Amino acid sequence: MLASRHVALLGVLAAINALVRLMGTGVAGIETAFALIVLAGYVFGWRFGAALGLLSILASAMMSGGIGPWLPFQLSGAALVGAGAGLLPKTKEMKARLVVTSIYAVLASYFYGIFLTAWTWPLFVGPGTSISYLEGGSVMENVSRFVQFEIVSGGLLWDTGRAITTVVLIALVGKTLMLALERATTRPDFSKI
Amino acid sequence: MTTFRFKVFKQYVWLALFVVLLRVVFRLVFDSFDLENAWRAATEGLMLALWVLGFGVLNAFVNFRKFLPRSPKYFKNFITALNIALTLAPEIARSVTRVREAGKLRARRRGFRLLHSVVIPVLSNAIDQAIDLGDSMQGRGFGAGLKRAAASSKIEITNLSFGYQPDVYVLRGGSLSIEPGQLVTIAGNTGCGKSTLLKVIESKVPGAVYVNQFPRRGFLEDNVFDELAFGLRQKEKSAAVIRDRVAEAARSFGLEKLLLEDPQVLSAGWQQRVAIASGVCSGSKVLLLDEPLSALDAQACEMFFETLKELKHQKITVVIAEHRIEDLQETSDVFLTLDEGKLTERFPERTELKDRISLTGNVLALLGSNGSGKTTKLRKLAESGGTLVPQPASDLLYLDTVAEELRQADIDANQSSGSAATLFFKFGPQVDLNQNPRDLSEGQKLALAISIQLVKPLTQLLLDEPTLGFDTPSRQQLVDTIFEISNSGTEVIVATHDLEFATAIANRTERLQTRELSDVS
Repeated sequence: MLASRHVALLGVLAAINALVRLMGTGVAGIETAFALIVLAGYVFGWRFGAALGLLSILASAMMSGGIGPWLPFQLSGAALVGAGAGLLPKTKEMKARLVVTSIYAVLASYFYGIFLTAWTWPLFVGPGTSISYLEGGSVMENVSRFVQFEIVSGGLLWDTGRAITTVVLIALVGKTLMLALERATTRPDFSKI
Repeated sequence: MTTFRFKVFKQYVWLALFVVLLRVVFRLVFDSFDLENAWRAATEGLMLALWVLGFGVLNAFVNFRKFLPRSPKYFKNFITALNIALTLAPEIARSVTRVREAGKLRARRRGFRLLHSVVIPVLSNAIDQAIDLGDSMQGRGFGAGLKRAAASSKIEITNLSFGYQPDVYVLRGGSLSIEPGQLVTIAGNTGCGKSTLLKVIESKVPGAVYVNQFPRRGFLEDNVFDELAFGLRQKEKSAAVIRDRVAEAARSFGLEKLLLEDPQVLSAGWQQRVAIASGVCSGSKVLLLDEPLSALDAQACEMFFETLKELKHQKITVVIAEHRIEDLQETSDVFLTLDEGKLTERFPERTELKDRISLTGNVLALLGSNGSGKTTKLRKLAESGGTLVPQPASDLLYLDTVAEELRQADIDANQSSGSAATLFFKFGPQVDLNQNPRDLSEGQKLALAISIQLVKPLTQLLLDEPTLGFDTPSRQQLVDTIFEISNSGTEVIVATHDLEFATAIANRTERLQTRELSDVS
């Protein structure tokens, strides 16, 4: 595919994701933008996936006025999710693809949630409670405290919601979405004749 | 000029309150439950809240988009993609609404089918748009940088052969030679490969710019000035040079007053001008125009002929693919006809549309310029039970192959299998039924949409620009079909710019007046 088509496609898909994110805020755990990031990353490779993750977050932050210190964490989280999707094993078999991307989507949903809460953890709780980070505590102790925080803050619930939405979306429209995305690469490139 | 976006700030106020509350609650539950403790947590949280509010003020005041460099030296692809995302988001939001309405037009859908018939067309439209946009950017010099070969004004292609699938050729050899500054018109039937031919020329001639019947799909900026400047910025011209060259192009194409407008909201005629001027401004010497007249009203057509004069004056080579060749008879230097993959230099024999006006039926033609409300009127009628073939017709299509679309149409309409297909083939398209409907030519997509809608039991048929991309045989087929439908007692309402077509079918006409007499919609 031509470089300029790649750039245009990144822009257009990021616009869709930004819109979807804007519409989805406030609804518990429904993060529909994830499905497209995972599928596009899978179809076009890790670089495209990473760029789409970055651009989706950045575009929606610029549109909704969401620029702040949380942005780097969201950006790197989404970029990693997109990049990871591009590194999944490739296959032509559609069912296998759907299974692979679905499993990945579940893992990625929790990863993204934990990645972001790790940052908000000290800010939302403050030191000294039984679910705060314990300075000098053992790794196991702190992991257990973190998991407790994840449960009581509703983070895990949120991540589960995200995982379910993404998997349901992939199951329902994943096949057609991937075929549609692949059309972009199979649409004739006239420069090759 | 700065505005304070209160809505944005309000979100941050809520977030700040939420943060304070969270700290107090966590402290009380997971430390010890006393008032002093709560107070301490609240004051700690307050610092955090102030910090959040600070970012609220920043976001409410500052439009970060303004800081995106117009001609970036670093991360050029990334910044261009971000700019595209920010420009097109409102446009895509509009397309979601349009497609959702179209989904309802085709059949009542619930749940999964509704999701499917919205998600797929929106995404496929977006991908198609991305491809058009990418090609338009490439034509204007994106990606090639300074190494790009100098724009040529002569077209010289020796082996014109091309096929989308191996061994199925759309273009079968032959050669094409066009002198600088000539205006060449290419005619040919629906789906014969005119667009393909233009695309092949685009790829073979450095700096050739292709403009299709929906020029706005090649736009990526939110104002006309930046759209015109896009190509110059790719060539890393200085700001002063850009200002001069854009001003010059704006003067020659009459765009001076529109430089700050959003190109997406201009009327079709002006959008076409912006697309052409943008190609010229980026230094292109060859323009390839795909059906430039099909979506234009009479006034915009006049404008287009003025544009052609200006292009001739600037010695720019123009190749036009068009069905409405009579209109181009005077201005063109050469006429070519594409038939079965071969180009021949001749003016295609003129076939007139035969009138079939129903005496008993009721066929109304809605006329009026772009933006006079024809489409709105049809959509309103569709809500109260009429069957509409919308524009763009591809909004109706959401399945993976042509065959599936036709089969689904039969099922939705409770018709015997093959009914829609029979109708489809009457319009003459020779297509592979396993093709993706979105890879069809514009005329073929329209024929498919018409067939899908017409197999349904009709009480009122509504057609929006139903001849866009149709050649004369296809138009004649539509005239005959409308004749039969209206004779069976169905009311037919057609919105069209195609006057010949309107006179061939309508026993009543209604002209809608434009609300404002300005050229800009």
